[in-house]
Amino acid sequence: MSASTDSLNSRRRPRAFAPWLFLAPGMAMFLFYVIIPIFQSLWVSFYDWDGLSDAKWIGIANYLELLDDDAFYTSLKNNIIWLVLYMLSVPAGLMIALFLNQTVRGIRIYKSLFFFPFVISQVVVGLIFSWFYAPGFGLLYKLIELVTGQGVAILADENLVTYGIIAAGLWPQIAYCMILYLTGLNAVASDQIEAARLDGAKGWRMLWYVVIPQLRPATFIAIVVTVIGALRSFDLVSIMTSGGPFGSSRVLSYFMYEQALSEYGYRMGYGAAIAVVLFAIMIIFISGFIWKMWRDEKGVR
Amino acid sequence: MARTVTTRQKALNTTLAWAIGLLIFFPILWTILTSFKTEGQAISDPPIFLFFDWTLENYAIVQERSDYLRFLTNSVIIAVGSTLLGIVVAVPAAWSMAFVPSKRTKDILMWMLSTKMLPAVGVLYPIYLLFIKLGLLDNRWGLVVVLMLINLPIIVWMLYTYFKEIPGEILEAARMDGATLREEILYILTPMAVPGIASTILLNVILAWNEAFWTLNLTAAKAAPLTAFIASYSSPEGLFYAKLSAASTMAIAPILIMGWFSQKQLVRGLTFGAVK
Repeated sequence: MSASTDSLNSRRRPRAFAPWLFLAPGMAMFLFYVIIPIFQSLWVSFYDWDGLSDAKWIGIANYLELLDDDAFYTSLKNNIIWLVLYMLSVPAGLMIALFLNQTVRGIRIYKSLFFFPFVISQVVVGLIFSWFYAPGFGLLYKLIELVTGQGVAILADENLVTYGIIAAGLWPQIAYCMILYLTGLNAVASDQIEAARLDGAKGWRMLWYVVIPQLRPATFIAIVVTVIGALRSFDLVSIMTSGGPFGSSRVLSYFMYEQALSEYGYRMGYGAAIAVVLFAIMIIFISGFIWKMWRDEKGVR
Repeated sequence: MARTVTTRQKALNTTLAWAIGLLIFFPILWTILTSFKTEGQAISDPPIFLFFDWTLENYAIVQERSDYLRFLTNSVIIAVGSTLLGIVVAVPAAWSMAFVPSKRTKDILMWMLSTKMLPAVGVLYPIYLLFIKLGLLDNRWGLVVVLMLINLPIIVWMLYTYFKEIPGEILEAARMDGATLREEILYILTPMAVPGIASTILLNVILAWNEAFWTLNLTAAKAAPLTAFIASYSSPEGLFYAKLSAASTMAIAPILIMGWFSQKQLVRGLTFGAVK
């Protein structure tokens, strides 16, 4: 009796243990790449350190300096502009998808047109747009000249540069959201649409109460990916303007890079303090927001 | 959404739809076209759309100036290597999450994904130091590991959504018939998961291929992939736009071709398997 229970247990055991064993490599990697560096950054932010000589403990001096730094506020403001304007790609993608969700001749080839911008590198996106903005012969420059009668060198204008870079980023982002919604619209239950129509729903009411609730999974992914995209602003900023002119297009991640790692500065401690502030903002606002959506989403399922 | 539409309206819609599509595609098209122009025609005023003297000289010059094949090889090794390594690490983890879920599984998943939203710059410095210590700077294999780690949350997430669709009863039945855990994963789960794994691989190859931040910061001459290749043509002072276009076209061509042939799987990948 006891022998048979034993053999049963020993046959069971690998199966009970396996999930943990299987999770281990992934979790270990994760710890190594994400968790440890975050604490390392927090630690370094209390030091004055050039990365080579001995680090000196200076307490919260880095943070106090940050509060007084104009560049910090410019970067923070730009980060917020990025996030807000990037979010526009979600409704924009939805609108285009709704319009296209009908029998259009050659829909397959047609869909691929939307699909390409998202698969090319941000480096290429940045270069193409810098070139479109180029004064004198850039296509967008020409277009502005044609419409307003006067060309504007967007990437050299302190007040416009951030919007110019965001426009470049929105191009692939809108295309992505549109693909997401177009795929999602395939799954919208047509009997519900029909039922709603019989009940007299149409236009905006139909969209808001019948279609959009069914697109929830798509909306969730669209927002998550858009937020990630907005925070990847580093790539485009670094390629298109290197934070210029006069630092007006910096975002926090680029500012940190400038302070700690570029050829201009080796202020590791200060850079780390910027990173910590950025982490804090992210965790509080964005994670909180997405977390809530995620909870709702789980509840629905 | 069945609706009666007149032929004329339909034609109008089709035209408008195509116009939007072409507008979205235009920047890429323009880049490809410009790569066949001479430098003079590339910046001509008014811009020339199709009627210019088609030339291949930009490609010849770009190839002469920098060895395209070396960058391409690096890109392929880094993108494919990091993806396959990621799959090896992620399949067991996703298996655990999908088939032996606990109360916390979904929260762990979300938590992993949320780290993708942290700025990469914040961890650049620790990783950079580590690479110096390990002698991995400008090394393809170092980059393979880093890119694998960066995309790991997405790989786990995608595999999880695909695995979840596999009915647990089938695995249960195999278990009843006496299949060991190894057999269960190897002979039952894997064949059913192939389409999901395939789209995960495709998407992540593309993500790793396009990754610029890490590849630009952790490589120099030896291990630099195509992102570095294009970035080296970005000096705006030179006004070499035709050559820049040729370099860009060469860098994005592999991904455009691959994307074209694997669109269906890729769309599922792009939507993280969550939207059908």
